[in-house]
Amino acid sequence: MKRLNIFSNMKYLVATLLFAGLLTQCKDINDFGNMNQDPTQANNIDPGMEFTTVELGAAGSRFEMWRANLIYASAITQQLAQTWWAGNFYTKNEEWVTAFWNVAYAGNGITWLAQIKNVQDLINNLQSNLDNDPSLVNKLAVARIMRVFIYHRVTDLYGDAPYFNGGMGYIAQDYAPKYDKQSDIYTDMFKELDEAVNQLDPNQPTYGSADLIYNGDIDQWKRFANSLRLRLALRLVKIELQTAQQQAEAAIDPANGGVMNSNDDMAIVPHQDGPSTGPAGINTNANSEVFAVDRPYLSQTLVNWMNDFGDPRLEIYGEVNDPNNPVGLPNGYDASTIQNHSSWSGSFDTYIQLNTMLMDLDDPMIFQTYAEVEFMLAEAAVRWPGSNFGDAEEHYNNGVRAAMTYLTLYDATGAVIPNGQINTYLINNPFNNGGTDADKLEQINNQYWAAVFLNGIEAWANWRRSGFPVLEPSPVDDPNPWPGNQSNGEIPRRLLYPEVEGLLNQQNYDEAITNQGPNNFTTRVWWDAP
Amino acid sequence: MKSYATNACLGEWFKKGSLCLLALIISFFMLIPGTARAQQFEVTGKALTADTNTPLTGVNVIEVGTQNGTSTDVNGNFTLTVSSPDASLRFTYIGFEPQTAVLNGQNKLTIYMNEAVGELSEMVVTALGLERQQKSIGYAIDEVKTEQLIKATETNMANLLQGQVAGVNINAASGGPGSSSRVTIRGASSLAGNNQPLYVVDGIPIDNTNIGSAGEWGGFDGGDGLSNINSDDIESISVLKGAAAASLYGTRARDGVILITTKTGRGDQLDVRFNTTTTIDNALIDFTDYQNTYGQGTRGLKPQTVEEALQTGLSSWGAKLDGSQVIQFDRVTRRYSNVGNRLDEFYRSAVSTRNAISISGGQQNASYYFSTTYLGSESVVPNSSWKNLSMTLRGTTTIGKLTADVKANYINELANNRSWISDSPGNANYTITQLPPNVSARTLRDNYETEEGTEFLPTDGVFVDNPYWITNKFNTDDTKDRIIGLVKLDYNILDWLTLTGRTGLDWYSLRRTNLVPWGTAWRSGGQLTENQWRVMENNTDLILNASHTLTSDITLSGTIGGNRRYNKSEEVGNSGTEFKIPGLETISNLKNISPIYSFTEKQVNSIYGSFEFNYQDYLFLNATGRNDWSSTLPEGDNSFFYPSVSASFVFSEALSSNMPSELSFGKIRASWAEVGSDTDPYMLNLTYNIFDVSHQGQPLGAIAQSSVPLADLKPTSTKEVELGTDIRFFDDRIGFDFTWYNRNTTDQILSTTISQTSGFTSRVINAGELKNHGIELRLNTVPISKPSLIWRSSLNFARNWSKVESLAGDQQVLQLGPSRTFTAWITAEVGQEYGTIWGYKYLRDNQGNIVFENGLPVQDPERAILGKGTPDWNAGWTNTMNYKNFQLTFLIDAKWGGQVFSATNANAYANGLHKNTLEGRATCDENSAGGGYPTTGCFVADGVIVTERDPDTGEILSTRPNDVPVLPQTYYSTIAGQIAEEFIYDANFIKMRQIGLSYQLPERVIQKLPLSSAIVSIVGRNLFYIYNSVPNIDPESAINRGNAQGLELAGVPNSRSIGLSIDLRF
Repeated sequence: MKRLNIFSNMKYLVATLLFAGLLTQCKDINDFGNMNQDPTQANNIDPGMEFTTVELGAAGSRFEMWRANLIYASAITQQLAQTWWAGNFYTKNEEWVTAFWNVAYAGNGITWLAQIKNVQDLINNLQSNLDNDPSLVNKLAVARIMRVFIYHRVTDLYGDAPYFNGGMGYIAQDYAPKYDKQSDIYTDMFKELDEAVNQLDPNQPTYGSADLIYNGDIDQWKRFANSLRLRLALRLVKIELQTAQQQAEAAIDPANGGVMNSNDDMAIVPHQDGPSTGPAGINTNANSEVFAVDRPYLSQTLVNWMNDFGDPRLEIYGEVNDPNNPVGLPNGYDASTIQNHSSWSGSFDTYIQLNTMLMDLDDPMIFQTYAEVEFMLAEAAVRWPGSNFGDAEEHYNNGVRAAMTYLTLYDATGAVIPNGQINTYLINNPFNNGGTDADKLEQINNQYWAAVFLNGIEAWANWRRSGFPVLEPSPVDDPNPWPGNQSNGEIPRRLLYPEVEGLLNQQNYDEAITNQGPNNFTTRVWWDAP
Repeated sequence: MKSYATNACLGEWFKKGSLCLLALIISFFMLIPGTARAQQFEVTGKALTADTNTPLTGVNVIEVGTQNGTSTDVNGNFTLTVSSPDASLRFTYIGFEPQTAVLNGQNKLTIYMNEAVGELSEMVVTALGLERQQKSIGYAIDEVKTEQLIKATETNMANLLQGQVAGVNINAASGGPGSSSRVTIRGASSLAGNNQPLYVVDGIPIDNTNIGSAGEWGGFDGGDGLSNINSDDIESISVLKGAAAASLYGTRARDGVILITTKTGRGDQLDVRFNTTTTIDNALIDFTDYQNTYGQGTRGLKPQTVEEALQTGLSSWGAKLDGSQVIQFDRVTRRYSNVGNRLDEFYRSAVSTRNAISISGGQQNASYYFSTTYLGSESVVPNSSWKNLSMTLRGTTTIGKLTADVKANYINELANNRSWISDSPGNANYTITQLPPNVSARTLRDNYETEEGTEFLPTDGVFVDNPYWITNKFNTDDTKDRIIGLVKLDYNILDWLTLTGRTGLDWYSLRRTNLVPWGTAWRSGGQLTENQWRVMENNTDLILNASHTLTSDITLSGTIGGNRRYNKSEEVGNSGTEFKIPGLETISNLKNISPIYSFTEKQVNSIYGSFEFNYQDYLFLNATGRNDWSSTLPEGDNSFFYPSVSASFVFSEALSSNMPSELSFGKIRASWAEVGSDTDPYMLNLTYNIFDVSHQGQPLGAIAQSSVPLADLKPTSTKEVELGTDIRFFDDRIGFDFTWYNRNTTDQILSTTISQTSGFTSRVINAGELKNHGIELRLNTVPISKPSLIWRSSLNFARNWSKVESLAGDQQVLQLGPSRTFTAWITAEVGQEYGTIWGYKYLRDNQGNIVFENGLPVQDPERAILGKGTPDWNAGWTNTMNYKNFQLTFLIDAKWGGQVFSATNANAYANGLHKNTLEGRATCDENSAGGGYPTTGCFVADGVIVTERDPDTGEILSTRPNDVPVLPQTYYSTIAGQIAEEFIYDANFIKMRQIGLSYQLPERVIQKLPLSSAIVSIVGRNLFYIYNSVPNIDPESAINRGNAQGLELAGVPNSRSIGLSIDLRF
């Protein structure tokens, strides 16, 4: 038909014109604007907000604090005891031994708890913006200090660990990071603390109130960084005594801002009752969340030590039924074997349970106390008499005094030890000036152990490097090791890497095993030389 | 604000996309060589049914040898201009036998269509809703007709398809009425994806999301979108199984398409129909394989005190039942004897009712259809029910060259107390299936609340609830308001060219309350979540359809179109714990409250085309192509194209002179297709989550992902080859349809586990390959075809083989889901079938003896494949017999070759309730002397103790028989807690799926009534197992509809449903 023929002749022209016109129009077909950006999530975050979360994440959740800090560390160091805790028996539970590791790196799936991932992200962002915005310098410095705090616990618990590339799955696309030697990690941590302290600039802004620990106080951050440096320095006394001394001296150098000098300088994260409560509540104290469902007993070892010296802290740490005959639960007994122990009275009621004053959901989480710093200074004064560490006895007395007074942080009215009682305690238990250095170190570090009550992770590290307190392996009062223990009856010297690392990060994991030793409880971390 | 902006974009789409698309399409068609058509002769006519002379609407009228055609209007009339007065016209209509009429110069025709005798109709609905001759299709397509869908009270339409279609595997989640169903066609195509087909109603895809499902820690099934589809409105269902059939629907059709065509008005007469169906449902499980010799207690002792009764609440490790008086949890002393079936005491006879009314009719050039259906379905669990009200209004009209079809469907769904399943907290089924033989469910019913108003527990453990506390106090309620709407306009630009514009909306709002009341043992302060989802899917298509006869032998036809799909889902709510005042169950009465908010949206723009070549009506070639642009893929690299080709050769027509006369039809078909798939939104970038709580007045935020996103994500690709044949003999009395397919999915979008030291637990990758191949068979027969008796029978069978070719990198096992016992997992393992059950076995020596330590079997530390959660094959046999005014239908279906891991049976081992736990107790009874079994043990199980191992390899060198006695309960609890192997059962069954017997009232009775027809039916579904290989549980029991199939724990039992249905037509 004619119409169609005309149409037919026209069609190529029309089609060509249409296609030409379309080239501009059709670009929209592949343009979705920002539709693929989740409107409920932020693409950027305020550094302060991220830092607050990192601090709170480091204060822990019920999951890993229960397992690492309580079930293992505080039972191994015989601060606490509980009939089913694996740290009482040196048995292995894969999920329990790996809990702290997995949470510190990746939150064990709970992203906000992944301290390493988030602090690494924060540092990365601050670092890349620092050139354009020098006012970020204090935020960066403080984040670097927090990173050292986070990593020192990981390496002290596990040994060699991914450090330089840890938590960089997104930043560096490193899905199986190398395990760095603990010696390299320590070298870098000293460097980081040194640089961070020097980076802190009083003329630049801080995190302010977003900083839960020091509210942006630069001087206090310096003192915490140096106190942490002192802690790390003393870790090395068995392996690199000279480095230990050098780093300890640098830590107390007034030019660097010095170490903590009162309980006000303590590094603590405040908690509150809610609204987000346990388990793994965001606002609440992680240890207290555990105690709400699992109230442990004071270890017989600790109770006897305190009782022997007439320690007024005993009635604050524990719910003492009979002050004349306080009984702690011996480590290494379960609900049935305890019935054969001489302390068994027919019921658990005899044993001193943790005091409810220390179990409140809004109790603070303590990272480092001023008391510890004084005890470390006392030790340094004993070890290196020619240096500027001052008088060991004075530091010892300050430490004891601080350790007894900081407890008011748990309960401002109930946990008060009057000055008179402290004086009496010090008169009855004076610093052993006449003893050997070893005697002095024992006395100092026994006090250190008592002062870091509920901080089993620190107590364990300090026990390993100092050897104090002298502990009898579990089960105490029984020469036979627990059947099924996985440390040949010896007190464990580290926690274990996740077995799955041998699959997911095989090469680096194997290298770490080659360097450090088998992945078991008796392998010692680098600084824990025999 | 974003949502508003996007809605506004609907209009913009027409400005941007459609204009562009329309121009593309038109310009394309201009490039098709055109020839003048000689049209000279106009024919008018009418199509009527042969039996009742009712006009038939929508009959296809085609001039033979061309694609020139039309269809009849609402009065059955048609007008067609044909090429010559001697032309032949072919009339085809679904469910009727095709007819060909030679004009011989007549310009008026009346055609009487006979209902098809064979099962296979000649016309099928294919992609884009186009009706096509079945013989022209180069891939497998199955049609399910309305009469095969029995009038029942099934709440999920998918379940009605069970056993009906070869290659379609259906598993309903065990949550009772209104639960979701898993439908897989030809196995699962992706390792971690959805794997469910796309549902398309009248050309418009609908949402089938399952919001809320149970997992290893319990929960409830929140239902899916399909349960809202009213089976009374369905005209026909087409199942497009393969990728070739599906490529025109885009990425989601990779897993097949289920096309649902609903009814429209027909004819010019008012047609009013009413159906009412009432069924009674009863739980279809029993305690056959449970023991009822020993009662509640421990170590062979009856409870002496109420404390002991509580401690042994679910423990059947007591003494032999002797009829003595024994104290129970409620301080009441009762006879220590078997109380019988505790299930019957708890599960009730549930009544379900469906009432449907439809009114349809029409006038010249217009028709309407209105229906309303109410379905109220009680669960066998007390106080649990599900209701669905559906109203549909549809109208069609033709004005000149324009035809409009408008449909609106409103649905209101109300779920009351969805049952919690799987793990014990909140799960009534859990407690009831583990009660000791001497404890009656009635005692729990009479004592579920203490005087303080808290839960009265039957045990001393807080995580095992009193089932009646749950049924009386819990609220897991939701209500859904849903609108499915369609506007479709067809414009006949030219005789051979039609432009169709179509937009469809599926929108719903789901409002859910989830209350764990104050006083519940495991959440004493209570817990409440109130939330609401708003979900929408919008599809807009612009389609140009053309058909063109090149010569008298060759016809070309084609379709080209564009689609814009937009999905949005938004959730708003509040959740919290601890009621301040007991009994006041409202959000503001909670101490700790957190807000809930989530939002996702996604858009896909597409251009697609389909071209068909028809040679002499016996050789058909078809090619399709589609290009998608997805918002979920990386900007600038978000486009992907996928093609398909298929061919059909009807050799019985092509070579008719050489064919035996017995052969009535024969064709072979072949196809190849590829489908690309995108992913979920927000997978590409790292983002930060701002918390809903603050700390010390400070806001909190952190990296949101625990999986490293992949910025340059690529689409997944599925390729499929299919070959098939359709051969029929003796005038279609015997028909045989066979299909072989091979499907391979690569570049899967997976989340793979990585070292947690990276800061992340997994990362998103493009990797992994999954293969499926299989066969599908259908045998259609008409064993008897006499005027008074017709028996149609159809047997279908499908076998699928899958193989996981690779996962991410070196990864060997991908976990799809764990069992609550954490002894078994559903996995995808390289080199194995998809969905294997993987778990712990007994440690055995080289002779196969079980190794014991301390008198107890030892778990082999290496986990092994123990079975698979999907069947090797499934089959169905459908039958329809018509004898005078009676019709009998029945459907038997079977699944074979799969396994299930039954945690219910594991619990029954631990609790001493399983029949197998009787072994060993007799010896212990002898040693007991009334004082209970000796603590040192009394049962020595069969096995060996290792006496020597190779110190280097650990290989077992020598053994001696186990001689260490233990308590039976220690032995069986150890097995329950450590060995999965013991609880793997073959999930084989043959089931009488449905029977229907109906009687149509004879004409002489009807004439006296104001009715045009009346049918009374007796219907039954899920009647009984002809064969079942699993003890104590239902072989079809499933925790959820996800990929982790093959796990079972304490679901709502499937129920046998028997009822009466009445159909009236006025």
